[in-house]
Amino acid sequence: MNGIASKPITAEGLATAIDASVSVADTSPVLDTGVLALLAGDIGKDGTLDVVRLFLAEAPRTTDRLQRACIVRGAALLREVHTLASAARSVGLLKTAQAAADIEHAMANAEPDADQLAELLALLESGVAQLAEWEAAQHEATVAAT
Amino acid sequence: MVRFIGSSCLSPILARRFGGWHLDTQLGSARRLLVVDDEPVQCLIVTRAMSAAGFDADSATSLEEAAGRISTAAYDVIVLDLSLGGREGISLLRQIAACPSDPVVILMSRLDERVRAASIRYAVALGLRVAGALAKPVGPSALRSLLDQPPPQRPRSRRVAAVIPTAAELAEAIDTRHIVAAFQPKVSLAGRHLVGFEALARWHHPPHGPVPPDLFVPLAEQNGLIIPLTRMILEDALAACVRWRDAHPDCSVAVNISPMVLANPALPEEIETLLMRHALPPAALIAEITETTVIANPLLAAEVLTRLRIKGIGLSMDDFGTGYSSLLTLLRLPFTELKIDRSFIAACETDDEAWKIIRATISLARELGLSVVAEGIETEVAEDRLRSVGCQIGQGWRFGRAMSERTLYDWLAHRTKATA
Repeated sequence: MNGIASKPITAEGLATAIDASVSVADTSPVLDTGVLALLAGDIGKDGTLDVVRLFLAEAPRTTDRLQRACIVRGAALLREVHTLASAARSVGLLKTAQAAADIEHAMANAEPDADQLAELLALLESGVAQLAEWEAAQHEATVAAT
Repeated sequence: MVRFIGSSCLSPILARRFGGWHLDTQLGSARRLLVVDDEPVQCLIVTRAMSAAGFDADSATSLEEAAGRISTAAYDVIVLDLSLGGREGISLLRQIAACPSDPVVILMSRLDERVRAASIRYAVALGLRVAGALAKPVGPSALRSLLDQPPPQRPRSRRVAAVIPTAAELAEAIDTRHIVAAFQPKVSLAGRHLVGFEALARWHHPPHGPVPPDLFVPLAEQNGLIIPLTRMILEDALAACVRWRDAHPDCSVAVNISPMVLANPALPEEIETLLMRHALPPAALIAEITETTVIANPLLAAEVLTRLRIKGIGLSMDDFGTGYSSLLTLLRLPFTELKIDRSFIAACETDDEAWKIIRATISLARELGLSVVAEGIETEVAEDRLRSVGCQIGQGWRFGRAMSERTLYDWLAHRTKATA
């Protein structure tokens, strides 16, 4: 066992437990759709789709801001990784969230290295791609159902 | 009433008293809620979650948008991100305070708990009803559990100043000495003799009249003005103490020491120099520390306070029972006095549980060799009860309000005449 989520289980409770455990290992998926299922329990399927679509719509701006923050570093970068960690975690991109949170924590003592930042950008890119696929599949399912 | 999720600091007395908060039944119609957060994904999640919980929820992702919405719609609840592009989130609190709909406010911040606590105090001082402060990211269940609590009461000091002061006005008031020290007596409950005074900052704003300290002290803390303010009060207090010690040689003066002041490693030497300049023994001064002050910066605070104590200055733990980790703080720091918070004293006549806590606190202080001060004594019954369980010192309107130094001498003369 790597973590505890208190019952009743909520999306963020589970995400926190997952976050707190050290085992967001390389074998875990980039997109954890379980988080989205739990979010749907909180705010409904449509609400979850809206949140995912907003995340996707914001993704180019998020990436751009993050890239620029990687150059200027300091407080701007801290703010971006913090925002990204919470937004990514909310939509099930747990590896992206973890990478952002790791950088945020590391920045308490030192500037992150270029490899870490490159990894975060790569994880964000693959996360956005998988989330877009998920959204398209949901959309098709909805269309098929109607 | 103020509550943190994850690090609860809800007063146990008050927490026990309330039932659940069911606005549905209170208002009969959909409650209007505004979420103000510049992080769009978080903003949407919170907005949707609140819609699902039965709120008519709006959102705003910028200060301007929020200001516009607040001015045109009457909200029952406003969920506000304090970090909205720097400090601006906090500036919105003034506008919310002016809302006729008197909305309940829930604060969110990615900053640490100390900042959240200071923001709550500021919002409460503005007269707002604050339900709590949540660490970001805020999840739907954390918000819902906050809304499951009873609605917060209006702060006791709703006598909000006609004009809410700005930091610049505060700085000027310190410079021009429109803020002065007032002194509230502390008396022994056994013999009713005077043991000292607590120095309290009082601001008389020329056109607008008195500004409540619960409004300007948090403002001073947020703007670094607490350092010159404390220095000024300390100077006034020691100068006054010299004068009244002519007739009352054992009287001390207590001065509140704030977080940022305590973070100055040179503080013990500065205070020692001040005492020497006034030819006062160290025991004439008591530094009053609130528990949150100590906890905010534990290592440095421990060092500074221990050095103050080594020099012979008294250390008092203010507002005992309202913070968190107070017992741990008592263990770690060389306090000489413990002040039981006024909320316990106010409840002691009607709430058996409060009374049990008071008795246990007095017993604890006795075990630790600390003197005990009961703050906010207003009635004879409370005074008698506290005396009967061995509380040594009392402070409150029953004995005397905070007064100017000149009034203080009249008060002393009157007492002398009365006991003669």
